[in-house]
Amino acid sequence: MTHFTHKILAALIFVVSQLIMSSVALAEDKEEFQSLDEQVEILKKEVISINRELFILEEELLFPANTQTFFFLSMDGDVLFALDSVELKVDGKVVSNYLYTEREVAALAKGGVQKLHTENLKKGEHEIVVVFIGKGPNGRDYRRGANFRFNKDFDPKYIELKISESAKKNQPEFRIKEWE
Amino acid sequence: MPWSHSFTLALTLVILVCITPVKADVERVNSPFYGEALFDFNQQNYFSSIVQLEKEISLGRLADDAAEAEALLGSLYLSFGLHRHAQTIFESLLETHADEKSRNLAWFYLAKIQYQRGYYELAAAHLEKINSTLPVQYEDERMTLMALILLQLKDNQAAIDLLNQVIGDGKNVNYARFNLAIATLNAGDTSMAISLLSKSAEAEKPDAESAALIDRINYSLGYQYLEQEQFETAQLYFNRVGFHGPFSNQALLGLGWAAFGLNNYGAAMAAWRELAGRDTSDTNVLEAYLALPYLSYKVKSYSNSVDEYRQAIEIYEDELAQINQLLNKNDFSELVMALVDLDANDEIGWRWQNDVLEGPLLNRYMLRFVSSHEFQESLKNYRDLLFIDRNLKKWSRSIDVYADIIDVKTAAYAEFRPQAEKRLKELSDNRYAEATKLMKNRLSEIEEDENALALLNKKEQEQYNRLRSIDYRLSYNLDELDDKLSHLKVVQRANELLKQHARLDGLFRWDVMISYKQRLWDVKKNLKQLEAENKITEALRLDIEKIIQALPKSFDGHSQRLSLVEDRLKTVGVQVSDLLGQYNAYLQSQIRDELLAAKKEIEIYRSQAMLSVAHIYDLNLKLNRASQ
Repeated sequence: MTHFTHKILAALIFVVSQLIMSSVALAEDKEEFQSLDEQVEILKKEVISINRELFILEEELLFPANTQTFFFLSMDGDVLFALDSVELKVDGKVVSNYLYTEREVAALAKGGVQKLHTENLKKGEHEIVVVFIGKGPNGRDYRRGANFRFNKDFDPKYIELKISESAKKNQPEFRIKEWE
Repeated sequence: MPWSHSFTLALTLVILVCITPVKADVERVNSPFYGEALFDFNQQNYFSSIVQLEKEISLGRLADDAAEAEALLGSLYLSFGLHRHAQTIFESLLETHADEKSRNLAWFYLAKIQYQRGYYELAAAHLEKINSTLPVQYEDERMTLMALILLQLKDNQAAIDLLNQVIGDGKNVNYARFNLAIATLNAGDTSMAISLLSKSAEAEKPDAESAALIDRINYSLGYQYLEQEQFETAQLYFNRVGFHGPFSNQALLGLGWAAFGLNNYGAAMAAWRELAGRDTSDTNVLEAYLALPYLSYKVKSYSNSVDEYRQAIEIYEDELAQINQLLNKNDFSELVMALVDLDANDEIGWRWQNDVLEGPLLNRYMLRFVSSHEFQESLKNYRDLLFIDRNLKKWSRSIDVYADIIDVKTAAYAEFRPQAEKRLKELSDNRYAEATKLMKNRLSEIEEDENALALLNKKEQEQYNRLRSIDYRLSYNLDELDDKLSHLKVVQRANELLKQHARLDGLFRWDVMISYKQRLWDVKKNLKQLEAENKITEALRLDIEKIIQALPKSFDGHSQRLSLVEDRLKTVGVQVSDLLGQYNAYLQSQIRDELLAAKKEIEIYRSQAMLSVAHIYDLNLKLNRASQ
């Protein structure tokens, strides 16, 4: 191999080794990165704390403890029902009409619980009507309503709207109850 | 489910989901608020999930899922880059609650993330906390991770010893071997580097990432043998590299040189022609433009060689013009933003990674450094800061809304409180209750005495009073008369009237007596109704009392808290702007350095091409002179 070839090959290997060495970070870059990283970590914690405080303030201002009523939606993972939307009526008034994304439905199926709605309700008896819309077994359109009466006192109230599977009927089942 | 099992499940679920999506057992949550955090977590909305958990923990609403919530929070802190806070949570939870397996896994993942962020000493310390062998699928990875850490801590021999113990041949092992080989190569131990790489060169390629790594190992080995002029062996390794893989260009270039070294010019030309037909955005392709005219020169086709060198020079100048154009702008903000690629609905988390670099220039010149942990983590932090900045602006706007709510509530309560207090005062008047009590006592006496006359209604009472009055008047007058006057007609009439009165009185009393039970029942019924109404009044009074007690005395506390939040938002806003500036400058300087390095390389190619053209001209001149 000629001297000329060696020169090209040397240049080539120099370039390739530069490419390979790129996976090992330089020390000064690392120090600069870690210094910034530590500042960012402190900042992130402060941001979380601010957001938490804002949420608590919001709840205290908008939903005082003696009237607050939470409506949660949960779903069993193995249910034969593709949820599209839920309509919630409280004392005859539609308060929520929620359309679900696939990601949200998957999150519910994995044990997540959605806070569908929060309402201020006076002490006394109330009635809710919930309409679940989606696709049932064999992809058929499914629309089921369920109603529930409950008494509200001065403590917060938690109502669960639950979609589960009826083992006997092999059909989805929609239940409303107070969260236990 | 026993508590520890439940905790272990939660911990394993979250740390595994942090690393790679897995199908987890669905666990019924005890608290709906913990379920709400899981709802966000399952959608990879990690920031929302963290805030939800912190909020509910501070409101004391997660008592039934306390340990699971803490474990989830620790894992989410990790995903958000808060590894020190995660470490604090894990240390307190794991030391007391988790079983050994969970504890070891948690230390393992904590170390893994700390390694990725460049905290090598901390990562090593956490790996050393693992006090028994992990499940087999993790054990190799643990040793590989430790080897990588030792490599970063410049303890190459210990890293090699550890890697030799690894049984498996997964991509992590191959990755570690690769990095170690580079380090040993750098230290001048070529044979050790080749030995390390050879172990992985024939490994299987189960996925694209593994395939890319094995290809990288093969082409690196190819170049090592090329340098040692073992061209046939070099060819063997280059040929193992996937023809369409990310390292196929490097391999084709090397394959050409290996063939060239074996004087197989046809094969060299075939490899380089293939490479030259590819996208010129790759430096290997640019080099092929230098290799092809050299081949023509080698076979004494000088005219072709000059043409090809000129074509190469044109291409290099085009590239240099583009790089200069970028460098002259001296502002790479757009490039940084293209790398960050933050959509309006995106949340944050360390699983994010920019695998697809936008734009040919980015792709060409940044591939060499963009995969480094520091660059990726800097990009993540920069992206997180942009996300935070967006949120801070949104929250700042909401401060005014909250202030308005406080004003409205203050005004409404100022009006409502006196009304409620007035109503409470009215309801607190217990005259009715006392009257009812008196009536009840009186009824007991009546019932005891069977005093039916006490139960007369108003009309009957009047009738009774009239009877009593008539009786009194008649009896009084007759009693006063002398017996001698009894023969008088008027006296006789009076006596008759007295008898008539006695009959009426008897009749009245009879009627009253026979209806006594009914009367008593009616009165009792009315009394019960009265008592019931009194109870309702009392309940209402208590309700109003509770409402008044629940009413905030004022919203001053909320106003102060809001004001504090506003101040904190301003302070953090300034810090975020400052850090965004620093990260932007850091990332831009990295890009600038890479562009300058690329420019330098292309300038070398151009100079070589120009020198080669001059050399051929000289040669031609000499040949012409010799022929004359």
